Amino acid sequence: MQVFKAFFKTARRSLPINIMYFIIFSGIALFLSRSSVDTDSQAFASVALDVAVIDADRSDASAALTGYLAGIHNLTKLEYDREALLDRLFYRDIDFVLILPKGFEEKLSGGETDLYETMQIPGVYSSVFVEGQINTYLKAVRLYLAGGKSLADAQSHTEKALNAAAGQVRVLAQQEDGASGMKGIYYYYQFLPYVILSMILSGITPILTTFWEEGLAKRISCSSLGLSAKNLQLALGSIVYCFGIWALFQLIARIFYGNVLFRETGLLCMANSIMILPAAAAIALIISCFHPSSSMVSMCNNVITLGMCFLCGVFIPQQQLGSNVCAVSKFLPFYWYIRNNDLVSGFGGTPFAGGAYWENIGVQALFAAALFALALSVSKYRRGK
Amino acid sequence: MFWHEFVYEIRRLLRQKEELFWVLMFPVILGTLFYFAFGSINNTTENFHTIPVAVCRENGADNRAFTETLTALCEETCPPYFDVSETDFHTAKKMLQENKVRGIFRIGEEVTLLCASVEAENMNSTLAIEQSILEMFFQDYRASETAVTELIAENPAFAQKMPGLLETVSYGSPKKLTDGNLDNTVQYFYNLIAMACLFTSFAGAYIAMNNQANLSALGARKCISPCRKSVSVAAQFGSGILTQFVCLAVPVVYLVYVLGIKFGVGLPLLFLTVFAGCVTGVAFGFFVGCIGKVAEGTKVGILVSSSLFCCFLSGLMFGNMRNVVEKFCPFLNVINPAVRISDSFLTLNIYGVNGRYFGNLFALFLMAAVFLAAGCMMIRRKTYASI
Amino acid sequence: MAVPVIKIENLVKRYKDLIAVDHFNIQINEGDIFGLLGPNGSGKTTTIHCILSLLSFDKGTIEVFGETMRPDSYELKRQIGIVMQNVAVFDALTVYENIDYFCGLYVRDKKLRRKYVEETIDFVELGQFRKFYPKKLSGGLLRRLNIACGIAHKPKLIILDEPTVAVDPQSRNKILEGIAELNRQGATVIYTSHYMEEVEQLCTRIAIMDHGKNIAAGTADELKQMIKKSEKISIELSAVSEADIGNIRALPHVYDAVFAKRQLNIACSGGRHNLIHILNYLQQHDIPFGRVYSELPTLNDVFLEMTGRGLRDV
Repeated sequence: MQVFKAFFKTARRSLPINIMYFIIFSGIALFLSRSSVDTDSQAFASVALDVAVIDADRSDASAALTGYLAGIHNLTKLEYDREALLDRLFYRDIDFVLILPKGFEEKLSGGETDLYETMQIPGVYSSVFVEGQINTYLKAVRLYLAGGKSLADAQSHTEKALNAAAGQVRVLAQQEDGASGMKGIYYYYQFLPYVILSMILSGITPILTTFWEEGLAKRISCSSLGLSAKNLQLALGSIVYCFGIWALFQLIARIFYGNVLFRETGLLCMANSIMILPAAAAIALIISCFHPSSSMVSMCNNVITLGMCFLCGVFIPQQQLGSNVCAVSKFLPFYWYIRNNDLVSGFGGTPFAGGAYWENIGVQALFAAALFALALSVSKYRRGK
Repeated sequence: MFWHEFVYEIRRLLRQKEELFWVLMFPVILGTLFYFAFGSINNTTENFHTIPVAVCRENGADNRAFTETLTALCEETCPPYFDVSETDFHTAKKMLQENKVRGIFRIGEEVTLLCASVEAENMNSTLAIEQSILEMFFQDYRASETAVTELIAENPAFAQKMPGLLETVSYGSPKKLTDGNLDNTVQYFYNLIAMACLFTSFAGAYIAMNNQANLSALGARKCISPCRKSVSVAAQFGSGILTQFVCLAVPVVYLVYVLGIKFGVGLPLLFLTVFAGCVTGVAFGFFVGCIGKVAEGTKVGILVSSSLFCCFLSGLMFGNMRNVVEKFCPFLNVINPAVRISDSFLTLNIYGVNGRYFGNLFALFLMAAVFLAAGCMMIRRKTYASI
Repeated sequence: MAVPVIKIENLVKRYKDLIAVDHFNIQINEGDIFGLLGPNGSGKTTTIHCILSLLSFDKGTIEVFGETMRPDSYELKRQIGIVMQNVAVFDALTVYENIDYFCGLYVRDKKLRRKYVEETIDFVELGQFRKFYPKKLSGGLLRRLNIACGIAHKPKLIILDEPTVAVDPQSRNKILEGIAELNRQGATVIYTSHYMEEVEQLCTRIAIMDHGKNIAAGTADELKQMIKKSEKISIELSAVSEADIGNIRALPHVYDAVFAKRQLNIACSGGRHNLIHILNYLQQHDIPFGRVYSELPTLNDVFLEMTGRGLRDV
């Protein structure tokens, strides 16, 4: 077992970067699990956006309007600071800025039509939505005013009418799926492929490179240790390494999320995440065949991990990726991983089906097998040179 | 002496073709992947598209006011709000379940709206906001209806005043925001370039290691030559920045001209920003390279992980990360070079050249100066305790 | 009066608990090829690094060309050429460029530099490899390049730290000849090695180091005279009685005689005709013998006698 032992001695080299990955990821997981809120969504609820209001009028009318909006959206009252607001708009930290200028109340009661200003991203849903709501509100207020109501009356009537209308929207009943309380777990497993792939690539690639390195490879092949025995030990080392990392993250999941993890859905997520390992190991094997230098290993790792994770929907939900992207990413193993994760969590909007789940697992297994075949032929080709 | 070092350092750097290739190709490859991954995201998820709805008339019932409002929204706005399919309720329900329409308006004695349920996790999906817009329209109609009914009941003469007030118009005006690109996916490219800038730190680390007697045999040889360490470091620093900058300029040109990413500003200012990023990156690497007797692999590990971590905090993986940090620990954003680089791009894009942009450049150069000074302090030590 | 180039007094260098150089004294004069001989780990390289002020040391003084060497003594450094134990060249530069680069650190004048570089390439006979990258060179050629990088600027003082480690005999001879030639051209040379033959063949003066101490210094002959043994005679014999061995021991100048493995080893000190005395004795006592060897003492014998260990068995 000399090679096996040497494998782990060499592994210590990549310890610092892996510890870094580990700490960062655990931090993120903690962050995500804390920010997950379980909301019950039986009745129809409209989307709550982040709306900033700059109320320069500070009148009863402006207070009533902002009060109404606050009932729907996450409202923040801010001072006008063009750059700060624009920055936050750009990052979609706020979706819409409503500016009520001085004299808003007078203009409204005077029947004027130029009542407010906005800062909005042109042509996007959220702008259409919030602006539409404000216009709806003002239109109704103007109706009541025209009908002879006082401004305060008009506003309270409007609010009542709008709320009554909202209460009448019906929701098509859907079957219960009992997945509540597990949002954090899904996010955790959603992001897991990035970390596991990074750690496996930055961990195993340099080790394997060391063993393929010409002098060392020749020395080992001259020893009494057979080639197959050497490869077997390397494979064993890789397997232990991969499973070690995997187990570590399951442990973290258990610590963060408790025994909920061991319910059916949690177990499905866990089983799914095992499938990351063979594909990641095969990729590490392929890279190592090219004897890269340490800085090249990190470049390769970055391109592969970030590229694959972006394309396959690790960072950005798959539904948001364009269909042409998905058409490409179907040829990457993580696509099927995420699909399964979505399936288990119900993120993708499709109800869970055991058949589809195992199909996706199967596809991942096929990908792993294909990658290994590729790795072996590459290594054979490189050795022949 | 300076030029001798400078020229030879450039020659050496240019010979390491594989490394250069990666510095150059790494942003090109990732940029291309980003381009495909994000190319249509905002178009599909954020930009408003006509919403498909079903309208069912029960027993041929008709509601003129409703139909008129709906038709107005379908025909007069651009893009039209709704794409209406008239069908029976059974089919409509099926369409709703299959996600072919976002909601069903049922016109019976009164108008009702039926939507699919949206789970809490999906509340920020397109489906949810489309349904919310339906709801908004529905509220608009119902509230007007309620108001009109109430008011006519109080004062029948009101019916004459009414028509002008029922038109859907906007009572507000949007402020002009910027000439730049407000598509927030461009920030992924900002961070990509920021990452590429920080990765120039590898070159910086090698400068440090090549000049230190206790880190390499070459360093020892350099130390005993009559060439001043300050001159040698300065020359290598200059050539390192120059080559790295050229290697990054190519991907930037590629992003702008081949992929057509809209940075909202011309190449010269982009280059200036990238240059500042390179200086910071190389200086950072130099600093890490100067840290005591640590194995090269460990140093590369430190560089990779810290660069990635900076970019993560700046929003390379999750776009909004920067604002999250801003809430919890704003100081981190001030000293994070990746944030400063991407913020420079953001500023250029949205506001053009202004004080904030120069502030960012200043911060980057200041960080570079601090790293450089700290590194020099460490290797300035005249003799080594052990080699 | 010899001009001292390097003068070391009471140099002490510790690495934590280990004393690497222990009150070391040495004086190297202009025109010397000075050999620093000692087994691996005896402190040779550490001493060199202290001379070059790469390493800090705990005690003592070092003067180079009569001045104290400091990390910023650039004018002093300009006169020193160093060939390190480890090959220190840039993989990304060709043979010519490497030599030119290092020469350029010392010589500003471009024309002069070109001339020096050409001369150096001829000197180490790398002319046909000038466009080669170091990775393509064999071990011996690489060592020659390493030397060329250190001496191209025609320094007055050349320090070579084990330049022949892992070099084939042919290259080694070339290197040694080259060093002698440099010395003839006027350079003072410090040469460290644990190969006593090299040092003996090359050096005009030698210091023997062990455990950081200077245990002896002088020319090779002076060193050999410091020890008792001056001649070793070996005679192949089938058998010899204890009495005969006792008698041989009693012969003049013989101070030891041992019979082992069908060979009689006799150590003599001084005296001119030791061999004849011994052979006469054997003949007189009818002891048949085979081949006879007579060896003069080597530096290894010097080291052995002074430390009780061979140079190589450390």
